[in-house]
Amino acid sequence: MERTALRGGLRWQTATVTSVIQETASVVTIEVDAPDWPGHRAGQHLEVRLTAEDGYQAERQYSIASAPGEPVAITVERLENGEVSPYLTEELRAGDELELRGPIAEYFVWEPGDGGPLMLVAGGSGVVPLRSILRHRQRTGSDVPARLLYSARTWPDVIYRDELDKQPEGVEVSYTLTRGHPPGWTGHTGRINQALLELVGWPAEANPRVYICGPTSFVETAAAALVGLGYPPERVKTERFGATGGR
Amino acid sequence: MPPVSRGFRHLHRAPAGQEDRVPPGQYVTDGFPVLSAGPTPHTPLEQWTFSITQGGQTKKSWTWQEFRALPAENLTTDIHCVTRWSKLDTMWQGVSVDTLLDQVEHDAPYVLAFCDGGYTTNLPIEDLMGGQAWVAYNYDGQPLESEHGGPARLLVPHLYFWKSAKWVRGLELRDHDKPGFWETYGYHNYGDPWKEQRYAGD
Amino acid sequence: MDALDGNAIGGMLIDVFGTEMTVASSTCGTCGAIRPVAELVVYMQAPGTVVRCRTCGSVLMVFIKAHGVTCIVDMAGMASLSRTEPALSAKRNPEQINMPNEQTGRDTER
Repeated sequence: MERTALRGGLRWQTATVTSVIQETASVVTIEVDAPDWPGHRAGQHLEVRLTAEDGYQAERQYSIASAPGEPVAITVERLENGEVSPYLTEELRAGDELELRGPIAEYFVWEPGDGGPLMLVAGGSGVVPLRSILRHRQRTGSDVPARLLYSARTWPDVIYRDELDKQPEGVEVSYTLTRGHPPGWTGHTGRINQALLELVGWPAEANPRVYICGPTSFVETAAAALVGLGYPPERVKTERFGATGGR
Repeated sequence: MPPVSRGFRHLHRAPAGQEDRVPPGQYVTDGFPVLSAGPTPHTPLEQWTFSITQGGQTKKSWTWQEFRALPAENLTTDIHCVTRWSKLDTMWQGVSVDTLLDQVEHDAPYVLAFCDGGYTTNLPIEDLMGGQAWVAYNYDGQPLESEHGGPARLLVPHLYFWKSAKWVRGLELRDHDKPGFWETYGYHNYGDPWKEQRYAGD
Repeated sequence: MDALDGNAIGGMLIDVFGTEMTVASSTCGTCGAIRPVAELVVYMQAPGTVVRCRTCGSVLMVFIKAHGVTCIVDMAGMASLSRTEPALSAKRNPEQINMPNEQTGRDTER
């Protein structure tokens, strides 16, 4: 199936934006109607291409925020000095066309048949593909136990707050805030480290399946810490996002 | 032509009246993008040297202290990256390559610049002479940051910026031209931005 | 800027190899490390994209995009790239791209 879907390459298609939802002050979720979309798996991403009137083009990759079977959606964070993200988060609106291609990448993918228990570790906008995984888990009625540890700067920066508060039985969500917390905060604070992962994660003997996504330094800290706790490295999957790259 | 994205304006425009400073196909940026083919090296200054070599022999070498004692120049110049961004009026301080080459006898026509991390780039020696090239250690009045090539990088503003090799450690004088890292991979051997010489064959 | 990983070049790999490759198994020609392409170290902010071994840092693949076409211009550092598990390759008939030492790096399989 994978080969027939991709033989001949991955083609650009024009989708129509159906909604742009503000998730936080700097993050939006863009849902599109993409009639030629071949379907996707939880954790995959897609590429977006913008074309200016003078023909200038910019391409960026974004994780798919929706589960298989749901309309294609991406969640985009506005990066300071970004070239594409300010457009997607501040200008784009329902009715606009958006060129995209995908789905891309089979590595950072979860199916209920892959089992668990699931350990999901998110740094900032790294929560996006993990949200796709959690939605897929719920939509398929999977009872694989899941724990999400989500690191964000402050509480207003937490994406999908309401949805994460309403997770079904079998999903536990923990937060750590690194740059400030609200009064009465009972969650964790500070950057992730081995002690926090040991506290909120599965014991290594549970043989968890791990998905870590976020900025490179976050991912490497988390992966090293979990392997240090005895998690089998071959069951730890990582996806590193770029920072602003100095642009 | 793919559909135009309504309202998408890319950030990089030539300032009004200064379009002639921007080579064809380039866009002006306020930032200073960090481009790299590998991890940032961190050679301690006590171990840093700059050498001019030929045929496997070192003709002249300077330690960091000796290098910093050489006469230096301040310059303001425009730089042009083959990835299409240009930055105007960048300020640097460094040693002119003329100053370095004046201290050795040389008649080789070509140079291969070599760097920490293994990066190389090649140039005709004339493009490094006549006030066209420097080994720069300050940018914008501050020591050059390691992600931008510090402690010192080659600076050859009249060519695409991949020729301004970061983390430069020396110049190998050569009788025969040897393509460097990106030149081997299909980038233009010379790289004149005004002739848009980005790729081999352009 | 920090390096990324092979997930970031999923689209580029499809452009060059014609198929999904992030799960393909790579073997480093310098140190022998075996890992999925998704776990390799990727430097994208350059005139080209450079993919390195996470264990020893050697260059495994280099891509450039010239005149709108993405090409792989070097694979000499990669000992092999296989879309099935190395342990199974003797039993099944995988798509395997072998890199002899003198390989110039042009991609050989389309």
